[in-house]
Amino acid sequence: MSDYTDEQLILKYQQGDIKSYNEIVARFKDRLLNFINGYMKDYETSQNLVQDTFIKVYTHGHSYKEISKFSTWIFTIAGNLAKTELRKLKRRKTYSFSQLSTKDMEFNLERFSSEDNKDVSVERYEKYKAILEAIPKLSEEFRIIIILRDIQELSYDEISKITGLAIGTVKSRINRARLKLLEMIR
Amino acid sequence: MDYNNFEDYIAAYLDGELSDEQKNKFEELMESSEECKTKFKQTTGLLNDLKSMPTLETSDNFLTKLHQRIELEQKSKANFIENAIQYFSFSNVKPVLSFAMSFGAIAIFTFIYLNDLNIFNQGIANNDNSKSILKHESIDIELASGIEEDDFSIEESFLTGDSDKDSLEENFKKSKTKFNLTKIIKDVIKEISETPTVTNENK
Repeated sequence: MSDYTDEQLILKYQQGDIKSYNEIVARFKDRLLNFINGYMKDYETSQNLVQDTFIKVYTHGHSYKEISKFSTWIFTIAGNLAKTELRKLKRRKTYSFSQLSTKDMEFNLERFSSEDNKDVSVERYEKYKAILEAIPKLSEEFRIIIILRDIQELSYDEISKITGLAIGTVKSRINRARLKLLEMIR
Repeated sequence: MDYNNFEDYIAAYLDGELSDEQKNKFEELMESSEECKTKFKQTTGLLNDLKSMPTLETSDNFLTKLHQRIELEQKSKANFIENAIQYFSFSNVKPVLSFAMSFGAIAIFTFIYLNDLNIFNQGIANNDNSKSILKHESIDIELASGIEEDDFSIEESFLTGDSDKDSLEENFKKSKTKFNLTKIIKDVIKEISETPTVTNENK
């Protein structure tokens, strides 16, 4: 199953193969979580939205056409769900971004210092910590681009399709986002 | 490209998108300027850290929760269809049907009451017993609108066909009533005035 491309898996799922669906979930769950967390900055909300994304894939999997990469399609769904959720949260005046980002940043760092990451050196851990503290403080336009390009390693073309920005805009924005991040972690 | 805008070209250089001329200039600046070299190193270092940095992972029960939610989703979808079928099923249509039937019955009764007097009168005309009623009694229609009883009192002479229609109509013109009931009553009178002719012919 792991030999199949993402596109082959979704086509197999469209033909009724549920194992292919489970493989898609396994491949994308963490990637989507990090992407959505770039918008939400809240672990639980992000995880629920990842589930929402997979439910959409489950119920609307037949609507995927092989004209775009599957990763572009699923990231676009996840991004749209995150943006919709953000709009809802912004309408509720009780939601505070600054409070949430601080709380969840600490929570994320705790997760990184867990048993799974014990092989990470102290120096590196400090670097990661600085980056993790800085990323939530970036503006959303820079944060999402950094996550998609430098963490998820998506192509400019894919990022352009997911964000709806022109490729030129994505390229200039990624450069400015990196410089901003460097400035913040210095 | 110079020392001031060197950093704007870092991403393009890393992506291999600079022309040969630009690439040479970029590398030249990096070698000649410690500041440019540091900026470049910092950027590549950041990119390495971002790539190797531990990322968030979904919780252990993610898959279980997902499948539970999918099941719920399917159930709610099935329930929606079931509810829709039930809503449009006969058992739910029953009250609506009862209401429609009641309304229909009232409408039919009203229709007969207001318009089918013709049949009723025909029955009276053909019935010998009813003739005595027509001969000896007058039809009194009382209205609660302050109209005098005499205006709607029809004398026996009219009913037996002895009177002429013109005088009857004149009588109605005198009437103070202006609403539609006048027309209905006119129709009734017309029907009744024709009845004696029929009975006479039969005789």
